[in-house]
Amino acid sequence: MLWLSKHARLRNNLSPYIDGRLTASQATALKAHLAVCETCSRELDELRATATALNELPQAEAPRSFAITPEMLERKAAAGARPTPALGVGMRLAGAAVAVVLAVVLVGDLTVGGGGGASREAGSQPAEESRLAQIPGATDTSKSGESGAYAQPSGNADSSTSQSNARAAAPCAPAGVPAATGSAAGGAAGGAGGPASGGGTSGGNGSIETPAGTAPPEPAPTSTPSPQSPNIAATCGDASGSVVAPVAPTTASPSAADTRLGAAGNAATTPAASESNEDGGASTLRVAEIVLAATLLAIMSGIVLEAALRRRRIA
Amino acid sequence: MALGVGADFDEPDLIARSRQGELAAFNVLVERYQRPLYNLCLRMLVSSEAAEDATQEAFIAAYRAIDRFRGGAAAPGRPAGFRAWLFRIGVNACYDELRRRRARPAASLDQPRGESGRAWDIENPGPALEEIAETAELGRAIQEALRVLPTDQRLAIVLCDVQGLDYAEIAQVMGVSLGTVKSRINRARSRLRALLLSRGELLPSRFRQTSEDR
Repeated sequence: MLWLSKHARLRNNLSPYIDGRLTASQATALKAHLAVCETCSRELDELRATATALNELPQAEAPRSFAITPEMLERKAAAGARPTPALGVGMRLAGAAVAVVLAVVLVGDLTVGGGGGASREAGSQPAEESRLAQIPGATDTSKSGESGAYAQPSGNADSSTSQSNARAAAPCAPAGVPAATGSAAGGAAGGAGGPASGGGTSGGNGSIETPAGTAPPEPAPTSTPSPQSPNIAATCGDASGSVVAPVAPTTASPSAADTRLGAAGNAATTPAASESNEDGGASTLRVAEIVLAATLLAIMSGIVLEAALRRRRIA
Repeated sequence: MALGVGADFDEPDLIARSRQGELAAFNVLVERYQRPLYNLCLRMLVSSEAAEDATQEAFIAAYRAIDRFRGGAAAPGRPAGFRAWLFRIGVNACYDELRRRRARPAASLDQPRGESGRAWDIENPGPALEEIAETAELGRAIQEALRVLPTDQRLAIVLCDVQGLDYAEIAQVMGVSLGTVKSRINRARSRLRALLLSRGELLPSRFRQTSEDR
Protein backbone atom coordinates (compact mmCIF):
# COMPACT_ATOMS: atom_id res chain seq x y z
CA MET A 1 0.00 0.00 0.00
CA LEU A 2 2.60 2.43 1.09
CA TRP A 3 4.79 1.20 -1.63
CA LEU A 4 2.05 1.71 -4.19
CA SER A 5 1.47 5.34 -3.29
CA LYS A 6 5.18 5.91 -3.36
CA HIS A 7 5.31 4.24 -6.72
CA ALA A 8 2.55 6.50 -8.06
CA ARG A 9 4.26 9.60 -6.78
CA LEU A 10 7.63 8.68 -8.14
CA ARG A 11 6.18 7.72 -11.44
CA ASN A 12 5.27 11.34 -11.99
CA ASN A 13 8.91 12.21 -11.54
CA LEU A 14 10.07 10.11 -14.44
CA SER A 15 9.60 12.76 -17.06
CA PRO A 16 11.19 15.56 -15.03
CA TYR A 17 13.99 13.17 -14.28
CA ILE A 18 14.67 12.72 -17.97
CA ASP A 19 14.81 16.47 -18.34
CA GLY A 20 17.03 16.88 -15.32
CA ARG A 21 14.40 18.85 -13.43
CA LEU A 22 14.55 16.92 -10.15
CA THR A 23 16.38 18.08 -7.09
CA ALA A 24 19.27 15.95 -5.97
CA SER A 25 17.28 14.33 -3.20
CA GLN A 26 14.33 13.65 -5.52
CA ALA A 27 16.66 12.09 -8.04
CA THR A 28 18.26 9.92 -5.41
CA ALA A 29 14.90 8.70 -4.18
CA LEU A 30 13.80 7.92 -7.70
CA LYS A 31 16.95 6.03 -8.53
CA ALA A 32 16.49 3.92 -5.46
CA HIS A 33 12.97 3.15 -6.53
CA LEU A 34 13.97 2.37 -10.10
CA ALA A 35 16.38 -0.21 -8.85
CA VAL A 36 13.57 -2.18 -7.31
CA CYS A 37 10.61 -1.35 -9.56
CA GLU A 38 10.60 -3.07 -12.89
CA THR A 39 7.50 -1.18 -14.07
CA CYS A 40 8.95 2.22 -13.48
CA SER A 41 12.24 1.22 -14.93
CA ARG A 42 10.61 0.10 -18.15
CA GLU A 43 8.43 3.18 -18.29
CA LEU A 44 11.44 5.38 -17.90
CA ASP A 45 12.99 3.74 -20.90
CA GLU A 46 9.87 4.18 -22.93
CA LEU A 47 9.49 7.80 -22.00
CA ARG A 48 13.07 8.38 -22.91
CA ALA A 49 12.55 6.69 -26.22
CA THR A 50 9.53 8.84 -26.85
CA ALA A 51 11.47 11.99 -26.18
CA THR A 52 14.27 10.79 -28.39
CA ALA A 53 11.88 9.95 -31.18
CA LEU A 54 10.38 13.39 -31.01
CA ASN A 55 13.77 14.96 -30.98
CA GLU A 56 14.75 13.03 -34.04
CA LEU A 57 11.76 14.03 -36.04
CA PRO A 58 13.04 15.50 -39.23
CA GLN A 59 12.68 19.22 -39.48
CA ALA A 60 11.01 20.56 -42.55
CA GLU A 61 12.87 23.07 -44.59
CA ALA A 62 11.35 26.52 -44.65
CA PRO A 63 9.26 26.45 -47.82
CA ARG A 64 10.43 29.92 -48.70
CA SER A 65 12.14 32.89 -47.19
CA PHE A 66 10.05 34.67 -44.62
CA ALA A 67 12.13 37.80 -44.92
CA ILE A 68 9.92 40.83 -44.56
CA THR A 69 9.56 43.16 -47.48
CA PRO A 70 8.44 46.76 -47.23
CA GLU A 71 5.41 45.80 -49.31
CA MET A 72 4.35 43.32 -46.66
CA LEU A 73 4.50 46.03 -44.06
CA GLU A 74 2.42 48.30 -46.22
CA ARG A 75 -0.09 45.63 -46.93
CA LYS A 76 -0.27 44.83 -43.28
CA ALA A 77 -0.67 48.47 -42.50
CA ALA A 78 -3.54 48.72 -44.92
CA ALA A 79 -5.14 45.70 -43.39
CA GLY A 80 -4.29 47.13 -40.03
CA ALA A 81 -6.40 50.13 -40.81
CA ARG A 82 -9.30 47.85 -40.21
CA PRO A 83 -8.32 47.02 -36.66
CA THR A 84 -8.09 50.73 -35.89
CA PRO A 85 -11.80 50.97 -35.53
CA ALA A 86 -10.97 52.03 -32.03
CA LEU A 87 -10.12 55.45 -33.33
CA GLY A 88 -13.07 55.50 -35.68
CA VAL A 89 -15.39 54.56 -32.90
CA GLY A 90 -13.90 57.22 -30.71
CA MET A 91 -14.49 59.86 -33.31
CA ARG A 92 -17.99 58.66 -33.81
CA LEU A 93 -18.72 58.75 -30.15
CA ALA A 94 -17.31 62.25 -29.94
CA GLY A 95 -19.56 63.29 -32.79
CA ALA A 96 -22.50 61.66 -31.13
CA ALA A 97 -21.72 63.48 -27.90
CA VAL A 98 -21.65 66.80 -29.71
CA ALA A 99 -24.94 65.99 -31.36
CA VAL A 100 -26.44 65.11 -28.00
CA VAL A 101 -25.29 68.33 -26.45
CA LEU A 102 -26.69 70.36 -29.31
CA ALA A 103 -29.94 68.49 -29.17
CA VAL A 104 -30.21 68.99 -25.45
CA VAL A 105 -29.56 72.69 -25.79
CA LEU A 106 -32.15 73.01 -28.47
CA VAL A 107 -34.72 71.02 -26.63
CA GLY A 108 -34.03 72.96 -23.50
CA ASP A 109 -34.53 76.10 -25.44
CA LEU A 110 -37.81 74.96 -26.73
CA THR A 111 -39.25 73.67 -23.54
CA VAL A 112 -37.80 75.98 -20.96
CA GLY A 113 -36.53 79.12 -22.52
CA GLY A 114 -39.61 79.91 -24.42
CA GLY A 115 -38.55 83.38 -25.32
CA GLY A 116 -35.44 84.23 -23.47
CA GLY A 117 -33.37 81.18 -24.10
CA ALA A 118 -33.83 81.38 -27.75
CA SER A 119 -32.64 84.88 -27.91
CA ARG A 120 -29.19 83.78 -26.97
CA GLU A 121 -28.79 81.72 -29.99
CA ALA A 122 -30.23 84.37 -32.09
CA GLY A 123 -26.93 86.04 -32.32
CA SER A 124 -25.72 83.22 -34.41
CA GLN A 125 -28.19 83.82 -37.10
CA PRO A 126 -27.42 87.22 -38.37
CA ALA A 127 -28.30 86.32 -41.86
CA GLU A 128 -31.89 85.91 -41.16
CA GLU A 129 -32.02 89.05 -39.28
CA SER A 130 -30.51 91.05 -41.95
CA ARG A 131 -33.07 89.74 -44.22
CA LEU A 132 -35.82 90.84 -42.01
CA ALA A 133 -33.89 93.65 -41.04
CA GLN A 134 -35.99 96.22 -42.15
CA ILE A 135 -35.15 97.28 -38.82
CA PRO A 136 -32.03 98.88 -37.90
CA GLY A 137 -30.77 95.88 -36.28
CA ALA A 138 -29.93 94.44 -39.57
CA THR A 139 -26.32 94.48 -38.81
CA ASP A 140 -26.11 93.26 -35.36
CA THR A 141 -29.53 92.28 -34.71
CA SER A 142 -29.39 91.77 -31.10
CA LYS A 143 -27.63 94.93 -30.39
CA SER A 144 -29.48 96.94 -32.79
CA GLY A 145 -32.55 95.67 -31.25
CA GLU A 146 -31.69 97.06 -27.95
CA SER A 147 -30.45 100.17 -29.29
CA GLY A 148 -33.40 100.07 -31.42
CA ALA A 149 -34.82 102.03 -28.72
CA TYR A 150 -34.48 105.14 -30.59
CA ALA A 151 -37.92 105.04 -31.53
CA GLN A 152 -39.11 107.90 -33.31
CA PRO A 153 -42.46 109.09 -32.79
CA SER A 154 -42.65 110.34 -36.19
CA GLY A 155 -42.33 106.87 -37.13
CA ASN A 156 -44.89 105.42 -39.05
CA ALA A 157 -46.75 102.70 -37.56
CA ASP A 158 -45.86 100.81 -40.59
CA SER A 159 -42.27 101.12 -40.12
CA SER A 160 -42.54 99.96 -36.63
CA THR A 161 -44.37 96.93 -37.64
CA SER A 162 -41.95 96.12 -40.25
CA GLN A 163 -39.31 96.25 -37.69
CA SER A 164 -41.08 94.02 -35.41
CA ASN A 165 -41.36 91.52 -38.13
CA ALA A 166 -37.77 91.65 -38.69
CA ARG A 167 -37.09 90.99 -35.12
CA ALA A 168 -39.27 88.08 -35.05
CA ALA A 169 -37.23 86.59 -37.71
CA ALA A 170 -34.21 87.46 -35.81
CA PRO A 171 -32.88 84.98 -33.38
CA CYS A 172 -34.49 86.72 -30.56
CA ALA A 173 -37.59 85.50 -32.06
CA PRO A 174 -39.39 85.00 -28.86
CA ALA A 175 -38.78 88.44 -27.69
CA GLY A 176 -39.72 89.82 -30.95
CA VAL A 177 -42.98 88.13 -30.84
CA PRO A 178 -44.28 89.55 -27.73
CA ALA A 179 -43.20 92.91 -28.74
CA ALA A 180 -44.99 92.72 -31.93
CA THR A 181 -48.13 91.77 -30.35
CA GLY A 182 -48.11 94.25 -27.67
CA SER A 183 -47.20 96.78 -30.19
CA ALA A 184 -44.88 99.18 -28.65
CA ALA A 185 -45.38 98.68 -25.03
CA GLY A 186 -46.04 95.05 -25.22
CA GLY A 187 -42.82 94.57 -26.98
CA ALA A 188 -41.03 96.03 -24.14
CA ALA A 189 -42.59 93.64 -21.81
CA GLY A 190 -41.45 90.70 -23.77
CA GLY A 191 -38.25 92.36 -23.41
CA ALA A 192 -36.39 90.64 -20.79
CA GLY A 193 -35.27 87.88 -22.96
CA GLY A 194 -35.34 89.57 -26.22
CA PRO A 195 -34.25 93.05 -26.08
CA ALA A 196 -34.26 93.22 -29.74
CA SER A 197 -37.90 92.85 -29.85
CA GLY A 198 -38.19 95.42 -27.31
CA GLY A 199 -36.47 97.78 -29.56
CA GLY A 200 -38.77 96.94 -32.30
CA THR A 201 -41.68 97.57 -30.22
CA SER A 202 -40.49 100.79 -29.14
CA GLY A 203 -40.42 101.58 -32.71
CA GLY A 204 -43.96 100.74 -32.64
CA ASN A 205 -44.44 103.84 -30.78
CA GLY A 206 -44.09 105.31 -34.02
CA SER A 207 -40.44 105.68 -33.95
CA ILE A 208 -38.37 104.25 -36.65
CA GLU A 209 -35.21 103.07 -35.40
CA THR A 210 -32.37 103.14 -37.65
CA PRO A 211 -29.99 100.87 -36.19
CA ALA A 212 -27.69 101.75 -38.86
CA GLY A 213 -24.58 100.44 -37.45
CA THR A 214 -23.00 102.71 -39.88
CA ALA A 215 -23.68 105.78 -37.97
CA PRO A 216 -21.28 105.44 -35.16
CA PRO A 217 -21.51 108.97 -34.05
CA GLU A 218 -24.75 108.49 -32.43
CA PRO A 219 -23.92 105.70 -30.16
CA ALA A 220 -24.74 107.71 -27.20
CA PRO A 221 -28.34 107.86 -27.94
CA THR A 222 -28.44 104.27 -28.50
CA SER A 223 -27.08 103.33 -25.23
CA THR A 224 -29.92 105.03 -23.64
CA PRO A 225 -32.97 103.51 -24.73
CA SER A 226 -35.09 106.00 -26.23
CA PRO A 227 -36.67 107.91 -23.54
CA GLN A 228 -39.87 107.43 -25.19
CA SER A 229 -39.85 103.79 -24.88
CA PRO A 230 -38.83 102.98 -21.42
CA ASN A 231 -39.50 99.42 -21.95
CA ILE A 232 -36.58 99.00 -24.05
CA ALA A 233 -35.39 95.77 -23.20
CA ALA A 234 -31.97 96.83 -23.72
CA THR A 235 -31.31 93.88 -21.68
CA CYS A 236 -30.23 91.94 -24.58
CA GLY A 237 -27.20 90.98 -22.80
CA ASP A 238 -24.51 92.20 -24.96
CA ALA A 239 -26.52 94.34 -27.11
CA SER A 240 -26.76 97.20 -24.81
CA GLY A 241 -23.31 98.27 -25.64
CA SER A 242 -23.99 98.09 -29.27
CA VAL A 243 -23.43 100.95 -31.45
CA VAL A 244 -26.64 101.53 -32.89
CA ALA A 245 -27.16 104.70 -34.54
CA PRO A 246 -30.54 105.90 -34.21
CA VAL A 247 -31.05 107.24 -37.53
CA ALA A 248 -33.22 109.98 -38.34
CA PRO A 249 -36.76 109.08 -38.37
CA THR A 250 -36.71 109.84 -41.94
CA THR A 251 -36.59 106.31 -42.62
CA ALA A 252 -39.03 107.08 -45.15
CA SER A 253 -36.37 107.55 -47.67
CA PRO A 254 -35.64 104.14 -48.94
CA SER A 255 -32.78 105.55 -50.72
CA ALA A 256 -31.03 105.53 -47.48
CA ALA A 257 -27.92 103.58 -47.73
CA ASP A 258 -29.24 101.35 -45.06
CA THR A 259 -31.08 98.68 -46.71
CA ARG A 260 -32.93 98.09 -43.59
CA LEU A 261 -34.43 101.38 -43.79
CA GLY A 262 -35.60 100.67 -47.18
CA ALA A 263 -36.95 97.43 -46.06
CA ALA A 264 -38.66 99.04 -43.25
CA GLY A 265 -40.29 101.36 -45.57
CA ASN A 266 -41.63 98.60 -47.60
CA ALA A 267 -42.78 96.63 -44.75
CA ALA A 268 -44.33 99.51 -43.19
CA THR A 269 -47.50 98.91 -44.94
CA THR A 270 -49.60 96.84 -42.67
CA PRO A 271 -49.05 97.11 -39.04
CA ALA A 272 -51.89 94.93 -38.15
CA ALA A 273 -50.55 92.16 -40.18
CA SER A 274 -47.38 92.47 -38.36
CA GLU A 275 -48.68 90.90 -35.28
CA SER A 276 -49.79 87.81 -36.92
CA ASN A 277 -46.64 87.69 -38.87
CA GLU A 278 -44.59 87.74 -35.81
CA ASP A 279 -46.42 84.91 -34.32
CA GLY A 280 -45.92 83.00 -37.45
CA GLY A 281 -42.25 83.78 -37.42
CA ALA A 282 -41.89 82.59 -33.91
CA SER A 283 -43.61 79.34 -34.48
CA THR A 284 -41.61 78.85 -37.62
CA LEU A 285 -38.49 79.24 -35.63
CA ARG A 286 -39.68 76.73 -33.14
CA VAL A 287 -40.50 74.34 -35.83
CA ALA A 288 -37.08 74.87 -37.25
CA GLU A 289 -35.55 74.19 -33.89
CA ILE A 290 -37.57 71.07 -33.47
CA VAL A 291 -36.57 69.86 -36.88
CA LEU A 292 -32.95 70.59 -36.14
CA ALA A 293 -33.13 68.76 -32.84
CA ALA A 294 -34.80 65.80 -34.49
CA THR A 295 -32.18 65.74 -37.19
CA LEU A 296 -29.39 65.78 -34.67
CA LEU A 297 -30.99 63.02 -32.71
CA ALA A 298 -31.38 60.97 -35.86
CA ILE A 299 -27.76 61.51 -36.81
CA MET A 300 -26.65 60.61 -33.34
CA SER A 301 -28.61 57.41 -33.17
CA GLY A 302 -27.43 56.53 -36.64
CA ILE A 303 -23.86 56.94 -35.57
CA VAL A 304 -24.33 54.83 -32.49
CA LEU A 305 -26.13 52.16 -34.44
CA GLU A 306 -23.50 52.00 -37.09
CA ALA A 307 -20.74 51.75 -34.53
CA ALA A 308 -22.54 48.93 -32.82
CA LEU A 309 -23.09 47.10 -36.06
CA ARG A 310 -19.53 47.53 -37.11
CA ARG A 311 -18.26 46.20 -33.83
CA ARG A 312 -20.39 43.15 -34.19
CA ARG A 313 -19.11 42.60 -37.67
CA ILE A 314 -15.55 42.80 -36.51
CA ALA A 315 -16.17 40.50 -33.63
CA MET B 1 17.24 21.19 -32.68
CA ALA B 2 20.22 23.30 -32.13
CA LEU B 3 20.22 26.95 -32.88
CA GLY B 4 23.90 27.39 -33.17
CA VAL B 5 24.93 30.98 -32.98
CA GLY B 6 27.45 31.78 -35.62
CA ALA B 7 30.37 33.99 -34.92
CA ASP B 8 28.99 36.58 -37.27
CA PHE B 9 25.58 36.48 -35.71
CA ASP B 10 25.31 39.21 -33.13
CA GLU B 11 21.76 38.92 -31.97
CA PRO B 12 21.64 41.85 -29.54
CA ASP B 13 23.11 44.08 -32.21
CA LEU B 14 20.63 42.90 -34.80
CA ILE B 15 17.79 43.49 -32.38
CA ALA B 16 19.04 46.96 -31.58
CA ARG B 17 19.26 47.83 -35.25
CA SER B 18 15.84 46.36 -35.89
CA ARG B 19 14.50 48.64 -33.21
CA GLN B 20 15.77 51.55 -35.21
CA GLY B 21 13.76 50.39 -38.15
CA GLU B 22 16.52 48.60 -40.01
CA LEU B 23 14.53 45.99 -41.82
CA ALA B 24 17.62 44.29 -43.21
CA ALA B 25 18.90 43.64 -39.70
CA PHE B 26 15.61 42.12 -38.68
CA ASN B 27 15.63 39.95 -41.76
CA VAL B 28 18.88 38.41 -40.59
CA LEU B 29 16.99 37.33 -37.50
CA VAL B 30 14.23 36.04 -39.73
CA GLU B 31 16.69 33.93 -41.67
CA ARG B 32 18.02 32.56 -38.43
CA TYR B 33 14.72 31.61 -36.88
CA GLN B 34 12.42 30.93 -39.78
CA ARG B 35 13.08 27.23 -39.90
CA PRO B 36 12.43 26.44 -36.23
CA LEU B 37 9.46 28.78 -36.12
CA TYR B 38 8.00 27.31 -39.25
CA ASN B 39 8.44 23.80 -37.89
CA LEU B 40 6.81 24.77 -34.64
CA CYS B 41 3.83 26.13 -36.52
CA LEU B 42 3.78 23.07 -38.69
CA ARG B 43 3.61 20.77 -35.69
CA MET B 44 0.87 22.82 -34.18
CA LEU B 45 -1.21 23.36 -37.29
CA VAL B 46 -0.31 20.28 -39.33
CA SER B 47 -1.16 22.15 -42.51
CA SER B 48 1.92 23.50 -44.23
CA GLU B 49 -0.06 26.28 -45.79
CA ALA B 50 -1.44 27.44 -42.47
CA ALA B 51 2.01 27.10 -40.93
CA GLU B 52 3.45 29.30 -43.63
CA ASP B 53 0.86 31.98 -43.01
CA ALA B 54 1.31 31.83 -39.27
CA THR B 55 5.07 32.06 -39.59
CA GLN B 56 4.97 35.08 -41.84
CA GLU B 57 2.37 36.70 -39.69
CA ALA B 58 4.47 36.13 -36.60
CA PHE B 59 7.58 37.68 -38.13
CA ILE B 60 5.70 40.74 -39.24
CA ALA B 61 4.09 41.09 -35.84
CA ALA B 62 7.46 40.65 -34.19
CA TYR B 63 9.04 43.32 -36.34
CA ARG B 64 6.26 45.73 -35.47
CA ALA B 65 6.55 44.92 -31.78
CA ILE B 66 10.32 44.75 -31.57
CA ASP B 67 10.29 47.87 -29.41
CA ARG B 68 8.44 45.93 -26.80
CA PHE B 69 10.94 43.14 -26.69
CA ARG B 70 12.89 43.25 -23.47
CA GLY B 71 15.74 41.07 -22.53
CA GLY B 72 17.62 40.34 -25.70
CA ALA B 73 20.23 43.00 -25.59
CA ALA B 74 19.64 43.68 -21.93
CA ALA B 75 20.33 40.14 -20.85
CA PRO B 76 23.19 38.72 -22.85
CA GLY B 77 23.38 35.85 -20.43
CA ARG B 78 20.01 34.75 -21.63
CA PRO B 79 20.39 34.29 -25.34
CA ALA B 80 17.10 32.47 -25.47
CA GLY B 81 15.14 35.62 -24.69
CA PHE B 82 14.51 36.58 -28.26
CA ARG B 83 13.68 33.10 -29.42
CA ALA B 84 11.16 32.62 -26.63
CA TRP B 85 9.62 35.99 -27.37
CA LEU B 86 9.44 35.22 -31.08
CA PHE B 87 8.03 31.76 -30.47
CA ARG B 88 5.41 33.20 -28.23
CA ILE B 89 4.26 35.44 -31.04
CA GLY B 90 4.27 32.46 -33.37
CA VAL B 91 2.30 30.39 -30.88
CA ASN B 92 -0.27 33.13 -30.62
CA ALA B 93 -0.61 33.11 -34.38
CA CYS B 94 -1.16 29.36 -34.24
CA TYR B 95 -3.75 29.66 -31.52
CA ASP B 96 -5.55 32.27 -33.57
CA GLU B 97 -5.62 29.88 -36.47
CA LEU B 98 -6.83 27.03 -34.29
CA ARG B 99 -9.56 29.25 -32.94
CA ARG B 100 -10.63 30.08 -36.47
CA ARG B 101 -10.76 26.40 -37.25
CA ARG B 102 -12.88 25.74 -34.26
CA ALA B 103 -15.29 28.24 -35.68
CA ARG B 104 -15.37 26.06 -38.79
CA PRO B 105 -15.60 22.61 -37.24
CA ALA B 106 -14.94 20.79 -40.49
CA ALA B 107 -11.30 21.70 -40.33
CA SER B 108 -10.76 21.32 -36.61
CA LEU B 109 -7.36 20.14 -35.66
CA ASP B 110 -8.60 18.47 -32.55
CA GLN B 111 -11.35 16.46 -34.04
CA PRO B 112 -11.15 12.68 -33.93
CA ARG B 113 -9.21 10.88 -36.57
CA GLY B 114 -10.83 9.74 -39.76
CA GLU B 115 -11.88 6.17 -40.47
CA SER B 116 -8.50 5.27 -41.75
CA GLY B 117 -7.02 6.37 -38.49
CA ARG B 118 -4.77 8.79 -40.23
CA ALA B 119 -5.03 12.31 -39.00
CA TRP B 120 -4.15 14.03 -42.20
CA ASP B 121 -6.55 12.26 -44.45
CA ILE B 122 -8.87 15.06 -43.56
CA GLU B 123 -6.30 17.73 -43.31
CA ASN B 124 -4.82 17.36 -46.72
CA PRO B 125 -1.35 18.20 -45.52
CA GLY B 126 1.05 20.08 -47.68
CA PRO B 127 4.14 18.53 -49.16
CA ALA B 128 6.28 19.61 -46.24
CA LEU B 129 4.44 17.45 -43.79
CA GLU B 130 4.31 14.52 -46.14
CA GLU B 131 7.99 14.81 -46.50
CA ILE B 132 8.27 14.46 -42.75
CA ALA B 133 5.71 11.73 -42.52
CA GLU B 134 7.20 9.61 -45.24
CA THR B 135 10.63 9.83 -43.81
CA ALA B 136 9.76 7.27 -41.22
CA GLU B 137 6.85 5.28 -40.03
CA LEU B 138 7.67 6.43 -36.57
CA GLY B 139 7.49 10.04 -37.63
CA ARG B 140 4.05 9.50 -39.02
CA ALA B 141 2.91 7.74 -35.87
CA ILE B 142 4.23 10.56 -33.74
CA GLN B 143 2.51 13.20 -35.77
CA GLU B 144 -0.77 11.38 -35.39
CA ALA B 145 -0.25 10.93 -31.68
CA LEU B 146 0.61 14.59 -31.25
CA ARG B 147 -2.59 15.47 -32.92
CA VAL B 148 -4.59 13.71 -30.27
CA LEU B 149 -3.07 15.70 -27.44
CA PRO B 150 -4.75 18.77 -26.04
CA THR B 151 -3.27 21.87 -27.61
CA ASP B 152 -1.41 23.00 -24.51
CA GLN B 153 0.21 19.62 -23.97
CA ARG B 154 1.10 19.35 -27.60
CA LEU B 155 2.74 22.75 -27.55
CA ALA B 156 4.67 21.90 -24.39
CA ILE B 157 6.02 18.65 -25.70
CA VAL B 158 6.86 20.05 -29.12
CA LEU B 159 8.75 22.92 -27.55
CA CYS B 160 10.55 20.57 -25.22
CA ASP B 161 11.32 17.48 -27.23
CA VAL B 162 11.08 18.66 -30.82
CA GLN B 163 12.45 22.16 -30.50
CA GLY B 164 14.74 21.47 -27.61
CA LEU B 165 13.80 24.39 -25.39
CA ASP B 166 14.43 24.15 -21.67
CA TYR B 167 11.64 24.47 -19.12
CA ALA B 168 12.31 28.10 -18.37
CA GLU B 169 12.13 29.03 -22.01
CA ILE B 170 8.98 27.01 -22.49
CA ALA B 171 7.43 28.81 -19.54
CA GLN B 172 8.28 32.08 -21.29
CA VAL B 173 6.78 30.98 -24.55
CA MET B 174 3.62 29.64 -22.99
CA GLY B 175 3.28 32.33 -20.39
CA VAL B 176 2.83 29.84 -17.55
CA SER B 177 4.75 28.81 -14.46
CA LEU B 178 7.54 26.26 -14.39
CA GLY B 179 5.30 23.91 -12.43
CA THR B 180 2.70 24.04 -15.15
CA VAL B 181 5.32 23.39 -17.78
CA LYS B 182 6.56 20.41 -15.85
CA SER B 183 3.15 18.84 -15.47
CA ARG B 184 2.17 19.49 -19.07
CA ILE B 185 5.31 17.86 -20.35
CA ASN B 186 4.91 14.99 -17.98
CA ARG B 187 1.36 14.32 -19.06
CA ALA B 188 2.08 14.83 -22.73
CA ARG B 189 5.01 12.51 -22.76
CA SER B 190 3.19 9.80 -20.84
CA ARG B 191 0.33 10.01 -23.21
CA LEU B 192 2.49 9.94 -26.27
CA ARG B 193 4.28 6.91 -24.94
CA ALA B 194 0.99 5.11 -24.40
CA LEU B 195 -0.26 6.10 -27.83
CA LEU B 196 2.87 4.98 -29.55
CA LEU B 197 2.93 1.70 -27.70
CA SER B 198 -0.66 0.99 -28.55
CA ARG B 199 -0.23 1.56 -32.22
CA GLY B 200 3.06 0.42 -33.34
CA GLU B 201 4.73 -2.74 -34.39
CA LEU B 202 7.71 -0.70 -35.24
CA LEU B 203 7.85 0.90 -31.88
CA PRO B 204 9.00 -1.94 -29.68
CA SER B 205 12.16 -2.45 -31.62
CA ARG B 206 12.79 1.19 -31.58
CA PHE B 207 12.22 1.34 -27.89
CA ARG B 208 14.34 -1.66 -27.26
CA GLN B 209 17.08 -0.21 -29.29
CA THR B 210 17.12 3.07 -27.44
CA SER B 211 16.82 1.50 -24.07
CA GLU B 212 19.69 -0.78 -24.86
CA ASP B 213 21.69 2.28 -25.78
CA ARG B 214 21.35 3.50 -22.29
